[in-house]
Amino acid sequence: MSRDKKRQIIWHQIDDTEAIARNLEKMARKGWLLEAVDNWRYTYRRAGPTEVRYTVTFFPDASIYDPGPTEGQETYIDYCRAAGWELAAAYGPIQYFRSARPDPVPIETDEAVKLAAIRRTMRKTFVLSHAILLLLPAVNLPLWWNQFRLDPLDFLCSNFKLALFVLMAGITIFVIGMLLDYLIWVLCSRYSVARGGSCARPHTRFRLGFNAAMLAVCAAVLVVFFLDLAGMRTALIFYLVVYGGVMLLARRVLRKLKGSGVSRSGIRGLFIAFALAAGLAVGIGTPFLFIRLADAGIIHMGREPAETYTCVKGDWSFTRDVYRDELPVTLEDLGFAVTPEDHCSYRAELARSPLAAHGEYTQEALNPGSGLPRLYYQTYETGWSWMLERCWEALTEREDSDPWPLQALDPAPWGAEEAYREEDLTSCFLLYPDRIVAFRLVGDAAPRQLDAIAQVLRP
Amino acid sequence: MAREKFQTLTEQMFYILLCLQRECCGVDVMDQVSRMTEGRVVIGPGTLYSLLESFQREGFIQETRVEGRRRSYQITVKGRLRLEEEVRRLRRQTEDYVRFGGREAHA
Repeated sequence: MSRDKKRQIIWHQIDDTEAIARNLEKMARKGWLLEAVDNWRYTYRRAGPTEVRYTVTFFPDASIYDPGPTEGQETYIDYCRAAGWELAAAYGPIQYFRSARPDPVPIETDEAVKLAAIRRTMRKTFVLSHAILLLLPAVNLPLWWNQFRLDPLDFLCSNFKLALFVLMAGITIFVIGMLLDYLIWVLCSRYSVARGGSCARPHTRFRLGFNAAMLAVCAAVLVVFFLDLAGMRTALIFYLVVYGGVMLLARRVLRKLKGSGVSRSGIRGLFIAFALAAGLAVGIGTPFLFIRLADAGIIHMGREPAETYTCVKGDWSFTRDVYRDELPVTLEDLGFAVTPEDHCSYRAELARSPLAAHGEYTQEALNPGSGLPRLYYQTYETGWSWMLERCWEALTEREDSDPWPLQALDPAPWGAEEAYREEDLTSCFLLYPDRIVAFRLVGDAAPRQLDAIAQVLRP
Repeated sequence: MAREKFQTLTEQMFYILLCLQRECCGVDVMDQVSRMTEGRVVIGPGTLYSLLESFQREGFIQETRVEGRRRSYQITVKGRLRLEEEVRRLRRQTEDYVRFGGREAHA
């Protein structure tokens, strides 16, 4: 960036025109004059420190897709020039005027006319964009509710899913809050203007506090989200970088289109089509690319295994990941003779969120010639009994036509509150006050072995 | 909304219509009104633009000439009737003031 230019992020909401003007006047006193504005930042050019007046006005008929100032806008600018105001910058309908006169005639001298212009502009920009933003949670929340209904434990244990849920809930609250704040401002302004007063002052402090709180919540959630992604972090960083690049490209495309002689509706249509196509291409292309890279063995999407085991049988071979995680109970503990030739993998997948914890443990012999059974067990923990009960219901719910109906067991020997076993399978489900234990020992299992597993996993 | 807005004319609306009894370029209306009222009524450029648009939409004024970006306007019959109605309203208001014991204000 050249030293003759300075950029500043826009913190004010667009209807907080007085605060915007004060900020621009302060920058002018420091020697920076506003040169351009886009949707998130001001660009200043260096000039000597000057005492100028700024004002922000709304010209509802202008749009960011206009190839240049419309005829009406040029007339508007001419009127302002005649009153001593020069157009410093504009972003769509939001016009930033500057005057070197110490006490220029205000651009808007009729509060009712001013309010009408603000409302028309806000309907086309702020209200429309926030309403579109509300579609995001509106589409996602039913999907998540379905996920929660089908597998509440998986949902509650996943920081990733919870973080996304909180993020969407945060966006919803934020958008509704902003829209309500605007609605209150409109009602107050209408009331005031109808009685000969001026438009109400926006709730700047409330907004700053609200925005800061929401930003902090979203940042915290994004950190949790990022930390919980494990093997997906590279994909996420790649996605964000490429998406950022696409957004910058979209801005360039918009600038190019504006200079190409295309009409406003043409520019708008082409820009939206480009943004949608590029967004979809990145959104779909990133997972596709990373899955292909993982399939080709170039990257590893999940947790790195300790080693890999390749089994070759004639012209047929396969490679499996081998894990060496600590398991609470192993086949060895149950009395099975495990040898290095079995190529046993010990895998523990742990998911812990502030609401619940889930452990999924597997010990299996990767050598197809091994006679060892497969040991698989899960534990679910949560301090909320109603949630545990809901999870227990989801886990033990069976259709009448289920080939392996559940058989109730006497829970007393297990020290549990309830116990079930799947008929014909060695799968057991045990409910404790703050834990659910589910385990399976495929192959022949003696009752004492099942009991040994349960004793280790009980709270 | 627009009709409701013009049920009574604000001072700025009144003087714009009054000024446009003779053809006048939009950009000159601000100065004219200021001169007519000796600076008492000031019309901002944004307000002028919006009101000229609204008056034109409402049929109170019509565009008479376009020279480059300079557009001239003049009041229509409908606009004149609306202005006269406003004058009658103001006159009635003044008469009521006198009739109900209001005293002549002295500068």
